[in-house]
Amino acid sequence: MTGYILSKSLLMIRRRWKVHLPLALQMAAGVAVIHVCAALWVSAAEEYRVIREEIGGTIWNIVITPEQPSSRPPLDYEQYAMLKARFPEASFPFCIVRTVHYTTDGADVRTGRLLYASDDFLASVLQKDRPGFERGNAAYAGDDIRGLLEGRYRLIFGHVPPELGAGGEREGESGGRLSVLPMDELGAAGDRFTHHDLADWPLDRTVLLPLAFYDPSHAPPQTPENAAVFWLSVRFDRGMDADEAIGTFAQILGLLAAWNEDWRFAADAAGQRLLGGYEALRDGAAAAGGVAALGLAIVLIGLSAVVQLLFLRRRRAFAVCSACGARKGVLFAEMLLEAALPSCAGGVAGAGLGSWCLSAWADAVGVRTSPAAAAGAAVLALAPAMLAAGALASRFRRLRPLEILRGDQA
Amino acid sequence: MTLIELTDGKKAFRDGDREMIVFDRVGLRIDAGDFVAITGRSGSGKSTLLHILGCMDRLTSGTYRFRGVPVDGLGDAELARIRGKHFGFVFQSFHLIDELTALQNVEAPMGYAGVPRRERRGRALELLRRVGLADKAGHYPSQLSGGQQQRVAIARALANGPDVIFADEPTGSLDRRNGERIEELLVELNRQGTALVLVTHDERLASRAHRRFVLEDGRLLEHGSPGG
Repeated sequence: MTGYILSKSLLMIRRRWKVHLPLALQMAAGVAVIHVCAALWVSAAEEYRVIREEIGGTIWNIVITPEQPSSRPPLDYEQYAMLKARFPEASFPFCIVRTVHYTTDGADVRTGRLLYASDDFLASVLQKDRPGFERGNAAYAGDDIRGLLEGRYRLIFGHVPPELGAGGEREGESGGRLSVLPMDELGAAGDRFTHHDLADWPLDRTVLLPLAFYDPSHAPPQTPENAAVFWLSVRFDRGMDADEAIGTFAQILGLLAAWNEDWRFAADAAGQRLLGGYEALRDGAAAAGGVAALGLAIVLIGLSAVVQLLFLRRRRAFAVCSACGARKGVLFAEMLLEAALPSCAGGVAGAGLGSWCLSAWADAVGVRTSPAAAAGAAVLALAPAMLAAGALASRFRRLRPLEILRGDQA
Repeated sequence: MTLIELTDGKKAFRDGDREMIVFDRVGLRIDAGDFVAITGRSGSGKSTLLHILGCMDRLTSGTYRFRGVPVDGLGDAELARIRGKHFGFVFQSFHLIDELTALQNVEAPMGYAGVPRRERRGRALELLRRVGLADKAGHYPSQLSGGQQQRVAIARALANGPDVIFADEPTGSLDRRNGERIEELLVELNRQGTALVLVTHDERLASRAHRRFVLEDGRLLEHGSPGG
């Protein structure tokens, strides 16, 4: 009897191909789109995870450029302290760089750097924890540049703050007292900086000063060569929610811009790329999910409508077949095959089409083929059978086929 | 041999608290090769009685035996098996399946009875030949006249070699010429040994039955008997 049920169902499908073909095509298209979107979603989720890790662990550099000539620094120590207090979930490696040129004998010209650094800068760039350094009285000077501070070498260009004059402990003009210690005492790892703007810069030509000691009034005329450079970064705790990190970063930029309108603050290219990539992925994944959900809804609505329609059109045939000896279960199986087979076939074709598209476009659009998405598409391809079975089961439970004949004869 | 024996049969429907009795204390015996006609006014319950005899409905009370076996306690699947194997049905409005050809319509009862494809196809063709429609085997019901559709329905009723054919107003939707042709076909089938139970308004058709019954006021009375 199984053979008869199958052959009769196929016969019915052939007779009603105008109903079944669009449904099968709709199903094929829907599953293909959903398969591709699911793979896109999985790829986006994976990429999202990577970016999220990057966001958590990456230093977001802020590019600071003058909007107009200004005697004020873009961020003074008080503002910096407020920033830290307001965003305890982030650290702020901050450093103001001044460049000096000096000579040992008049012929040999050397370049040195004075870095007014925050605690976070020391921790981030030199991997040294010196809590309180940024507002303390200790400075660290490299062996070579100590010659300049001690008067053995001559300053050619730039400005050395009075606190760093010859001798050990000095009282600055601003009233601060500073102990200039050998750089070795800092115990920094290595003898060169690893900061991206100071790649391979030797520590022995560097003086590290507390950030709070920076006094813009000591700045010489602003020229491109010796103008102070400001390095400000933001680092979030690893594992911080990416959306929260991005939101906080935007708040920080807004706050800095509000504090000092003479300066422009922006994320650097890498940060912008990260932000752009994150937003594009988030939008892409949302769009893909929306398309997938819409496609699925259309397919399912269409399918359930067709199942109901087929059932209503076949009620009398059920009654006749029942009079001819067909059991209700057999009629159910016949109807289920007729309703679901074309859609399932379309779904399987759609899953195959989706796989083909993904393999063909994988390189072009950077979508990974995903076993989970493929498995999901396969389940979706069989969804019409489950949907039809559910819809028909409730219909058949209430169906009294022979009563239809009795009604006709009354 | 007695095929069907209905004893003290009652059929009633509930309408709220009221019980609507269709018929009561009905008794009927149908033997192999019998030809029974049941007549009565519209709404008298003839078709209901026919459906009960054909195991398409159940009695409210009373006993119905088929080949000596009470069918009242049988499940739907068992009743379906009896209908498929032992009974054939002919309806006033033919009830062919529109999506199937004449041949496929005749094949259907055999398909549900598990007859292999080749055998059922051969038998279906033979039955169509018997009703004079071998050349219409590939036609769909919509391509056949009313008389031709009813002949296909008769061929379908004969598909599994039934013991009894139940015909409910088999000529009711046909013109006189086609009606007579169907009438002859049914009588011929009965002559060949198939029991025939028909419900009809057609006096002429009813007069050809071996026994005639009238269903009136819920009672089944044999024609010619006192009160019938």
